[in-house]
Amino acid sequence: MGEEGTRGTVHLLCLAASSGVPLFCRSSRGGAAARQQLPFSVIGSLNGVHMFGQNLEVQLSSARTEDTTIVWKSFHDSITLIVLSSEEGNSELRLERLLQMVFGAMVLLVGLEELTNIRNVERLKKELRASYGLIDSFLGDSELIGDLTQCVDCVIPPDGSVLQEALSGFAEAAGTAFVSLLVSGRVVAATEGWWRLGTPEAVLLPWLVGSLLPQTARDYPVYLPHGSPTVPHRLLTLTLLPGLELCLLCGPRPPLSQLYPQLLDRWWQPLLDPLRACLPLGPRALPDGFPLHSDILGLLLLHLELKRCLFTVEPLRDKEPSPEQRRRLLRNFYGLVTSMHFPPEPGPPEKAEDVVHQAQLPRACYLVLGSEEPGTGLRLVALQLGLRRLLLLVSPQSPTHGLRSLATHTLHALTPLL
Amino acid sequence: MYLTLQLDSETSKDEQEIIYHYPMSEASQKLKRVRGIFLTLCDMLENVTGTQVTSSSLLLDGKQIHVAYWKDSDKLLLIGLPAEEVPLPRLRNMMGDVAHTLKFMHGSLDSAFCQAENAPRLDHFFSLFFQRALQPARLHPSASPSVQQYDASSAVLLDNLPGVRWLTLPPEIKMELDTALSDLEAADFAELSEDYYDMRRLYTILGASLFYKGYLICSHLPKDDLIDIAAYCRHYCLLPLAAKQRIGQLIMWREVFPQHHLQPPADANTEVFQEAEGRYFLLIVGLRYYMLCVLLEAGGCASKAVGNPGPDCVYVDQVKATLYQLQGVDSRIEDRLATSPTPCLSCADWFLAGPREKTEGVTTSPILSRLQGTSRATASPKCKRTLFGDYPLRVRKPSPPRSSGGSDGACAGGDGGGLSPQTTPEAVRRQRESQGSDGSEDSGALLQVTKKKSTLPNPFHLGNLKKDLPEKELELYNTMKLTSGPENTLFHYVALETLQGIVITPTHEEVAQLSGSIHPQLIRNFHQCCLSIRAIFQQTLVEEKKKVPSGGDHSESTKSVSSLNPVKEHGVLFECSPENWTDQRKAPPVVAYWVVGRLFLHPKPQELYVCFHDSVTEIAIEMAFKLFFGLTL
Repeated sequence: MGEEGTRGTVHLLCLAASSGVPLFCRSSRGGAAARQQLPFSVIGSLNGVHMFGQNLEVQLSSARTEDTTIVWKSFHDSITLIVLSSEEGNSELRLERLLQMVFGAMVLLVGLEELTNIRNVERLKKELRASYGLIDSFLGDSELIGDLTQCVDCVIPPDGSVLQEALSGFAEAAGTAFVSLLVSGRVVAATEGWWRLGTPEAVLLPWLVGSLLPQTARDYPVYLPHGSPTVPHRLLTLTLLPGLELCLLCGPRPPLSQLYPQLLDRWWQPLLDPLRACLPLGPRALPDGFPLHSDILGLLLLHLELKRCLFTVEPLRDKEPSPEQRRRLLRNFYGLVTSMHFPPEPGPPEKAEDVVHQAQLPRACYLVLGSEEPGTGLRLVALQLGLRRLLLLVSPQSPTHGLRSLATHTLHALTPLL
Repeated sequence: MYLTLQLDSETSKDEQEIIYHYPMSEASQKLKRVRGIFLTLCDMLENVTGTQVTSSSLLLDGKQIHVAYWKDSDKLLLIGLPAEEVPLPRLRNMMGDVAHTLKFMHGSLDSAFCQAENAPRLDHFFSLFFQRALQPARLHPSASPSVQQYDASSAVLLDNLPGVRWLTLPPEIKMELDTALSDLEAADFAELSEDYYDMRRLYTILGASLFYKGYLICSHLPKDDLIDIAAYCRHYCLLPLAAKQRIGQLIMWREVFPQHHLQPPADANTEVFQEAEGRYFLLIVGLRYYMLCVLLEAGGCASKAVGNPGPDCVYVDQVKATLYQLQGVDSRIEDRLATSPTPCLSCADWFLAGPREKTEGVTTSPILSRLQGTSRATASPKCKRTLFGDYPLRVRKPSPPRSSGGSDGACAGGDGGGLSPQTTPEAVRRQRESQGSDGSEDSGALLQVTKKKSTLPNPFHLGNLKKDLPEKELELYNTMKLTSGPENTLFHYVALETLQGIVITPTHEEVAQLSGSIHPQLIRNFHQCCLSIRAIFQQTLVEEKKKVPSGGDHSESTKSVSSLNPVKEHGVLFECSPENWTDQRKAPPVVAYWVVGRLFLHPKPQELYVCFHDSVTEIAIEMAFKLFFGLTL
């Protein structure tokens, strides 16, 4: 992207909290990984102000200039992450969650033990290189939104029950409770056990698989940041069709050779057609022919308790704005409604806020963008109903006063799916 | 004073970097100790990002604190406030206000902070500032807690808007006020005439603005001066002072530095009028509920001011004389305050019903059923527009048909039938009169007026009208309904007009008439929500400003597609139910209402915030048109 100056740049810094040694710096610009890095002195002072405050019992958490936001966060008193972002419309919420995901990714691949008890900085630096791919995928423009919503990106397959059955049978045969079927980083179907995985690993694992280079089969050691941060598990992946992968999370057994090819063929060969039908689902998320109103340009549905979400910008693909722009719009809108109107989590709010806030519950909101001519400007609408939250990007031709009913209808239509 | 905040002004150069620091609380001391953070951030981030640091957030004893920065050449002004009480966008606005007001009072931040004798004054200034920020309710002592709550929450919002609260008055009164101010500004009185003493006059009167009970009712000042003066008055709590009690006499005199006059024009074109290099003085005289602010200029065509002149008695006397002259008008202004001419409001509690009932139709609507008992004239509510067909304030664009109200087709038909050839403007005026007289009969004027909105007098009953009320008073009843549909669903509104720097919103009296259990909560939530909506609009305004120099660059527009800019409208739907609902068997009744903000950029930024019931879909543009139409200072 041809943006001048430092606009649209994200710098991510990781330092050892005690020594202040930089462990890694990643940068991206306009959504793509960038080489350009901050000078060492700047990194030093960014960390310095944070440490200085900490010594005096003042925790510096964020700072803003006219176009840049900086967020500091330290984890386990051992790792300090700093992000400096001048992307447009980025909210602090997004940056804070980004740092959580980045730390999760570091634990996932290196283990908490290594990170909290740093003995050899140089070795840790080398080990952390393995996480660069995953971390860069958070900084860049991803098709997924789980990093922001902390919900698992899902798709709805046309033959869900068939796949679900096969999955359970396969899991039993393989001797693990944690199996899922992924298409380009999104979960098509998963076992009960897999769904019970906590955040952030439920989001991180599909994301990790999506960020790795395509391979027929993998045996990959992972730590689970929430469930098992110090003892590694094995993540086995098997490619059923290009883009469609089976993931297993297990202990020392079974060996990969036991699954592949016998077990695989037995369970999945008969399901080749339903599996093929899943392939185009990736960015579309919804089965072909699902009735969506023709004004809808993008959709994000969240289930706040199940922690799953559907995210697509596919409808009317050929129209303006481009999918990337639609994705950014919905991401920004999510950040806005979550930080401003809807509490991020259902249930009792963490802080004891005033009574007024609880008595006055926000249910829906909308935003009209663009210039003043009537009938122009994209519309964004959000609706919260029970545990579901729906965000829509709607084309300019749709009347403002109809947005809520449009969202309500869409949400009702989607309710059986998620 | 116990406040968890602090204020520093620091130079980054010498050892003694703290020039001023307030207050002396413990939290403030802690922040003072980490001032290195602020200095480093200020310096480093400017180098790295090329833009100045605006704010940062800290955790101190488990509490989040926002710190706003204001850099002025080599000095840095910092204000820290707890995030719980003051959200960041509000803090930034407050910081801007503080810097502006200090500049208005002292010329520059340097002269405000660097002169040792100013320290006690600054202490007072900031003590007021923190009190306004943290305990707004304290500054609005009032008999009933609900009124106090309203005052406090509306003050929080209005302080954030670059405008002065304005009271619309009927043209007759306005003319009288205008004349009085013009006479004063002409300075044509004997003692001031140059021939009389054969010397130059001391000051030229640049303009004056008149407040009544804290509302601006008349202003002959340029917008920037008006905003400056209003910010000053707000800061020293002068406006609420006059609102609550009669002022025996108040005289304030100080030299001021209106930036608008002192800043050299951007283009050094000699053809353009150059401001005279003078000194400026602000004279405020308060008498009873009136407060008159006069901006004086010394130098230019008046004689130059030497030293620190005190208030000149001739001028004070003249201003007082003007106020005495206006004594007769205040009863009529009181009338305006007591009635609620534009636009009518409803109380949220009237809508406390099962959500299903509301949309079913006119007959079950809570307001109408309430009103049926009192309604005398029973024209079809659908065709209310007929009677006002030729009255500009009521002209409306046709709105799309809705299930809950009468269809527009029906009303259009009514238009034809209702406006019979005899329906001259005179007849319409008389009908308005009839409305007025009806409304004034009851003390519950508001309810009555609401009724008028729904059911207008039948033209055949015109004979029953009382005609003994003077016409001027009847003009006050120019009722206007902002919402569409048969019911009046408007709960509250705030409209900002930046061209003239004014804000209109229901008067305290209007709000006081709408007592209810959930209504005050709703209004408070409305004010809070407006602040968040306004924070979004401000981003748009900032982007707009950036865009201007770069011209209509295409890359700019493509870039903005992916960010949420510019935002022109934002609405939030809330649901609320009574606070202490004890009936376990039944779910509490729910009221759903929208808070909608709309931003208009052209020709001059205007902002409108409305709060209305969910039963009718509203189009913000229409509402704004109705509200802003005919607003002139």
